[in-house]
Amino acid sequence: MILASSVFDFTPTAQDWLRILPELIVLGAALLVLLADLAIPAKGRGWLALVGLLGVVAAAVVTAGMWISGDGLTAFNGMIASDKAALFADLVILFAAALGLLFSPGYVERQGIRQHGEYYTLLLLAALGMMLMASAASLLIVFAGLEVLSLALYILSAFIVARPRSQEAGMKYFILSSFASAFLLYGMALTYGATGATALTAIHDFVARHAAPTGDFRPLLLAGLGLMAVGFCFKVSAVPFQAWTPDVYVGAPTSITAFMSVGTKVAAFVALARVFMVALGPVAAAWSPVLWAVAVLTMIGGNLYAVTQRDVKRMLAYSSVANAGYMLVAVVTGTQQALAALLIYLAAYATMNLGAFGVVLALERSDGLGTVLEDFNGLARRRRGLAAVLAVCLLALAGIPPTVGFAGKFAVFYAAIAGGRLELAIIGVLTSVLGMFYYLRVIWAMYFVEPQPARPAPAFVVAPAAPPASASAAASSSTGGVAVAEPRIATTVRADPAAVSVAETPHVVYPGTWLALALALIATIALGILPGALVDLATQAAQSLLR
Amino acid sequence: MLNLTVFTLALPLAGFLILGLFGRRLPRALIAWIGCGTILLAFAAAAADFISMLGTAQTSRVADTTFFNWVASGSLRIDFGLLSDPLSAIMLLVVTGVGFLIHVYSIGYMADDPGYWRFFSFLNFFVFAMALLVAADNFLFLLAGWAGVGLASFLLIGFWYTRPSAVAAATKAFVVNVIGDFGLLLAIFLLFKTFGTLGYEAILYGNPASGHSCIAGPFCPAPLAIHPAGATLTAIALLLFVAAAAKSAQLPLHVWLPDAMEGPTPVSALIHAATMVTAGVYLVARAAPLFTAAPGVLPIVGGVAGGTALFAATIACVQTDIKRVLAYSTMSQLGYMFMGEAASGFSTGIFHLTTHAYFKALLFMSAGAVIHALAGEQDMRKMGGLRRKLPTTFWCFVAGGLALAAIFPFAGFWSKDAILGAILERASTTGIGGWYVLYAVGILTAGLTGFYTFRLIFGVFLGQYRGGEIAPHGAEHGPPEPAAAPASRPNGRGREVASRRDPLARVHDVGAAMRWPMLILAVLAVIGGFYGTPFSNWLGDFLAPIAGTSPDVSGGTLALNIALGLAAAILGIALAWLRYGARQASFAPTRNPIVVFFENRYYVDALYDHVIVRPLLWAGRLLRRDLEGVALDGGTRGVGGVVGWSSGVLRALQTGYARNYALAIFLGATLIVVYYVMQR
Amino acid sequence: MPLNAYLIVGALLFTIGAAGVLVRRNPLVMFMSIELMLNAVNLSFMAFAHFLDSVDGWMFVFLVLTVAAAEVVVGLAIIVAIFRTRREIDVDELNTLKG
Repeated sequence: MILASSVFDFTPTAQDWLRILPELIVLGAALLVLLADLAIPAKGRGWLALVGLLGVVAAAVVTAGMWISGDGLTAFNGMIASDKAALFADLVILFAAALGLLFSPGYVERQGIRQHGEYYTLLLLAALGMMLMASAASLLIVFAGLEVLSLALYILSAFIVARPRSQEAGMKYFILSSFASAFLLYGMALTYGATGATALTAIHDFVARHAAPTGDFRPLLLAGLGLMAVGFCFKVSAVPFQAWTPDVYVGAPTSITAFMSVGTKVAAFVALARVFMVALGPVAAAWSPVLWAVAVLTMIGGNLYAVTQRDVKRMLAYSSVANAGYMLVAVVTGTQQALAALLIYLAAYATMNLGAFGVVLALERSDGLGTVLEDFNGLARRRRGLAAVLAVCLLALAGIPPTVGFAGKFAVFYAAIAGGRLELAIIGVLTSVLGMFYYLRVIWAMYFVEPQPARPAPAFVVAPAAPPASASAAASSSTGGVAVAEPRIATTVRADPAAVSVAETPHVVYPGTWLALALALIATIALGILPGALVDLATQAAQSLLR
Repeated sequence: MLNLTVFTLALPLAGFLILGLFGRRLPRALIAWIGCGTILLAFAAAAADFISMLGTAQTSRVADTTFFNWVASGSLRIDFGLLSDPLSAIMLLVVTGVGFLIHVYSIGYMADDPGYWRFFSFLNFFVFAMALLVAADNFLFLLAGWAGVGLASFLLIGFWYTRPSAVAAATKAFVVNVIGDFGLLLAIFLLFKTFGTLGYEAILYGNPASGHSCIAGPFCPAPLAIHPAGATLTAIALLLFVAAAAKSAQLPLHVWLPDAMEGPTPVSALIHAATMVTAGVYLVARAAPLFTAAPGVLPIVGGVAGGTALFAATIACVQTDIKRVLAYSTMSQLGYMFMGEAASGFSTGIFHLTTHAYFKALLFMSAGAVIHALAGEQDMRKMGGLRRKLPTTFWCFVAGGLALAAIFPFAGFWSKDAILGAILERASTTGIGGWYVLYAVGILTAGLTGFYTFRLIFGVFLGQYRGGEIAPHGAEHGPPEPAAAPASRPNGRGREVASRRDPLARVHDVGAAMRWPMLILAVLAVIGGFYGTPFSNWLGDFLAPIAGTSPDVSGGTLALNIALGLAAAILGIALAWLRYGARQASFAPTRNPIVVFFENRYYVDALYDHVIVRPLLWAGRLLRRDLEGVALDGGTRGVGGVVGWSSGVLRALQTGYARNYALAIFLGATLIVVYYVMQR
Repeated sequence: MPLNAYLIVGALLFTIGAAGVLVRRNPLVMFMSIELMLNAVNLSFMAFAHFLDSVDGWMFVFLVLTVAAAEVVVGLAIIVAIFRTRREIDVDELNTLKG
């Protein structure tokens, strides 16, 4: 076997590094946080978020600069793209990361997380993975970015170590995501075998020259893109691959949920667009029926699931499934306009979803509960600001003008109709009607339902001494078999001041959280009233990717 | 020509923001001043526009001001612009004028309500959204206003949120309206796909200067550049009509309007009688060129409208809640307006819209005065003989009732006559039997209208009082005020004695804030129709450049039309007199199957509940329970918290959910592979 | 050996791995099954790279090996964290989140 030696002649130039500068800055910030964690005393760990935030802002500034003056070429021998689609995705991901960082300090404190340095580092690394995935110009980088973001998020989901729900979220996410990654990877292998390339442009050229004209797709290619579709659909939480989403979103720390619900979607959808809409665009006839079916299932399923939810966090998780369905409509449509619409929708989703999760996060109690619908009763009178932000964000998610959610839905459904997918637009519009129910119910609870008399705190938490804990553990051992109450855990619970005070008075909402909520709110409204700039940017980005 | 429309929008919006943000801390008097003052100024702006329009030549009565560019990207270009033309001028005058009177009325009506500031801020928001709806110069911002008034309606129906019925009604209204919103959205997509723009000017009216041209129709001055397929136009027009039907409570999307009476009465008057519900009528008139050019749509509109008019009128005849009688009456009258529009009499629909705004707002205000006086009682079986106690209210009610029943020369007479004339003319020119049927339905409905209106008046104001003693305080208010009852007790004995003699001893007629708006509207209900008589149809001519010339009858046919309409109305009133006026009104329950059928509203609500609502809820539950595991939900029904969760872990069946999820992924992948194998 | 032979073995290994994930309840074993799936993919990549005479496949294999190693670390860390609180690692016990 003789390897083509020319491939190894490649030497990275300064230009290559400049084209991935935003990613490098985020990586640098992550490492800096890790170092600073050693230097900063335990009490001042909130400053770590600031360090990360500065890195994110710097990366965003550089990204904006590259938008204006970058050459838009690929780096490292066609591995990583720096076109406007990548930059657009980077900006949205950085926005999500910035808000995630702003949400974190108060929340992390309240949930009793000690390992601040690791937390912020992993958050930044996840953002790095997302940016890589969205900028991938090769299947290799798609996979690399995916794994970087996933590995970071597995840990972050399980980050509240002492809380079973968080552990469970991490474990489920880990097993299922690795499982789905294997499918994605196998699909990539088969696609590689069918086309002889992993670079997206080379794949595009191959299918355009060989597969598309004849209409005779080799089984290897079909199997490859089918399995890749499975992997991507898992990542974007499309039905029937969505089952992990609500569990992980509910179990994970809410600051992470907010960040990953947006960031993962952006990364996965942009990568999906790059692989399917662009590289495999010439053979759309082969993959669009599959994604069509998935889109329909997702729109219907996601909304139906959400209708009966009582927990707002879980409802938002299913809403994220439903929104994936609308975004898939744009993917299936496949035109340049649809790609622009997809990017608009992603940006819209980022603002409104971060706002909504941000309010949930601000209300969540230190035991991770307090997000059930009843907890929102009469919120407008107790927490007017939070209620207003959540109301606007939910109206936006429901697609009511003049919010950015309406602009997003308008763009996607309009692109679908213009692209000849009238049926998808109609299904989308009808399922959106269904969506009104559950968004509205929360607004209703906040504004029109009397707040419940202060719920007596569950007895077992008020008295967190060892006896009840061991009693319950003993009960567990009778059915479960092995378990013996481990004193250390009970002590941890008792020692943690946050866990004791479940009957806590309404906690302070930290300035960072307020800032983040204000940003999300302003973006949700301003981009709804004047979406011109957003549409412009998204259109340019789409033009850079799909001609 | 002036275009001050922006002030008509901005002032109510400012009022909404001020009251919404700071209202809680403001004194009541100031809230009232801000709430009413902004609307009065908005009315002044609308009136100034209108007057300057009158001074402009008829052919150039359009002022379209673009404020900013909403989206400009490739082929997609949508501006935010406000339009001042005859149609929007009339609509703005009605919205702000009647809106102002109802704001003033609310000062008195809501005086004791703890949510005073909230009420006025919502009301201001409504006027803003409605003004946006009628003044937008393109379909997209029409939709924004459309959704805005829906939201305002939702908030105001549910204003007394402690009542479960109000909550249910608000939700129902929102859901039905959302169906309409999405119909409108789809119509907009199709419009954009067909015409490449959303501006009224380009799509509907044509503008040779800008290179646009409009669709075929009697109003199109320019030769056609775009020839959309007839089917496309029909689809667009039908989708627009779905939106109009949802907003204007036409069959089969009417179910929300009667329930919407759960809102405070000023809301019923403003939103669910005078303005918002007429948005559909406005939309059809606005898109008149489209509806005219779209093959086969106007007969459908006529059928739905005629059906609704008759359907609602029959139900109104058996209702006993006075607000519900008026609600069904509103539905029926809206059907009337659409009937006129269906017969190409678009200006007659708008004409009836204006007169209906006067007399129906008046009737609701009067009904509100009765309800207020009787401490929240709405059932007319417990009323009667209130004429002497509430003289102003009585005479206002009679004026409104005569206008509603279309008795010469009250406002409703002229507008109803114009609609019936348009239908009759349409029938005689086309010779199609369907239009004659529609005309017959119109006459029959006119008779029913006379009957139910005067059944209401006789039942409430004549005869003997049938109710119990009236509590000293409060109206139909939701949030109970615990302070009210004990306060009256200290000197209660003397009053009790007095009240035993006369249960209405404490009942008093309306105060000044409520009286003056009612009197002004009463005057309008009497004379408000004179601008559209068949002899000098000023309104028809004014609207002609936008809505086209309505067909109208003349000579002997005109006389026949007037005679038939009047005869039907008088017959209806006479029947009501025999049944409820001449002797003590009898509202005894009946087993008459037709009446029972009407009382159950033709069972439409029950049908929707069984066919749509329950299956949806069931499907949602099924998905949740069966696909994601059948186990008991330890988290929500257990003790909650950490122990709850871990005991949930222990209690759970030995079904591995993570593995179930993995199985779903695996099966999904298998399905896709199988699909590809089958393809080959 | 022909390419198809490698591919068939790869597909078999992948299916065995997937079946392992579906039927086993011990996360460690599930985890090993996933590793098996990844290695099945590796085998396919190597076969393709060999027969296509391209290095892309080899690069992928190295990346997958690295990622698999990282996954082992993260996976074991999560398993240990759970084991500390529960003394038991059965995936089926992790089902408080549902509905």
